[in-house]
Amino acid sequence: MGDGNAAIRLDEGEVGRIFREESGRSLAALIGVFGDIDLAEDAVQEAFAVALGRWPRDGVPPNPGGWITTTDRNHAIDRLRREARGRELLSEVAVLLPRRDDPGKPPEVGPVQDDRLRLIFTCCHPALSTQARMALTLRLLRGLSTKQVASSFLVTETTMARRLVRARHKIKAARIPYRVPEAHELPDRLRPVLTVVYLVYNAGLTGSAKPDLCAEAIRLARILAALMPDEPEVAGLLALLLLSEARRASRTRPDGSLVLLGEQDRTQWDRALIEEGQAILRRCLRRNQPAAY
Amino acid sequence: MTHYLLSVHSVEGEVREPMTDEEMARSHEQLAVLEQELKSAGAWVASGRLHDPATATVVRMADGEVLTTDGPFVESKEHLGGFYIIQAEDLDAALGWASKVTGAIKVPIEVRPFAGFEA
Repeated sequence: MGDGNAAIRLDEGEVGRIFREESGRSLAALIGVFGDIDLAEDAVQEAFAVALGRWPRDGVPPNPGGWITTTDRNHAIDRLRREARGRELLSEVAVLLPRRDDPGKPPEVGPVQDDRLRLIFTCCHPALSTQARMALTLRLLRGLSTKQVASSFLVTETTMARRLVRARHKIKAARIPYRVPEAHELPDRLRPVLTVVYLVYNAGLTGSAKPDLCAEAIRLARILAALMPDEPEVAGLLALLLLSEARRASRTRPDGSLVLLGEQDRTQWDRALIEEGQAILRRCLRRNQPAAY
Repeated sequence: MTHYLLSVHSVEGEVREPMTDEEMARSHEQLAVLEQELKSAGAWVASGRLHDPATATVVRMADGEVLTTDGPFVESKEHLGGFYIIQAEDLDAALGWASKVTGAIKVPIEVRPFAGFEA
């Protein structure tokens, strides 16, 4: 830490922030192509290292998401070429891979279905423990580091690393599928996903954890709402989180004690969030299908 | 395809609603239908039912000699009562079969992937 160069530190922070925002989609796409979470994660890490070296100097590419996807895909391919088993795998997936193109060039428009939806259903598969589901979702969908996930759940980094390794191992060994459940399975499978998002939000409310889990939960809910626009439960959860978030700042006094709803300073409430939440609720009400959230 | 072991666990001495003869017959019938279903879907690899653990014998090496002892390897209340070995596309498919088994015999089923069968 110390008194390093503030400008560079800021840049690295900024690179990290942009990268994290965009990398979930790339990671999900990569897992879709190679069917291997470890390989995909390593490749995204390598792309991050490249970005750290290049972006502060050359500036952020016009389409950071496309840049990351291209760069990490190339890293994954390079790595597979070096391994015998990998070359086999590569010949299987070759048909699925577009030409190796110039990083920085905007990528072709992705498949109709965003891979992040498949990824979240894998991370929140009922065969995994709730703790593992939360940790995996934050790690893979939101790009938090193992250390950050560990500190969010108040466990040591080693414990969290072990938990993540075990979950990834189970996904691979037991072949937890990487796909969006079919319509008839959806009610059973969507519930654990929504629960994970809700629990992440609550974990953010109770702790002063860094990173801000409330914000992470809302981003997850937004991703889900964008990917599943016709699911009233998803919309309901997003609305609930937005309306809670609008009041979050006024929920506690500076000393951390709780302020009851009637005593809260309403001028502190976030009008924009309230309006967004209420607009979603009105749309849900028109559909007239009340459900849990 | 991955191979999975569906193991049927019974708890010794656990008080269960005793099955009536009729229920027993229905359960057997459901299992027979299910086994047929597994076979025609190409999912069935092997299956079997075991006698109670008191009939088990353990063989182990001790000081370079083979030692044979009476009784199960692990003294525990839960024991393996039977099993299916199936092959399935993924865990969801395996869990689907397991749900049918537990629906027929009303005891918990553990689903576990075999190592080294991935292909």
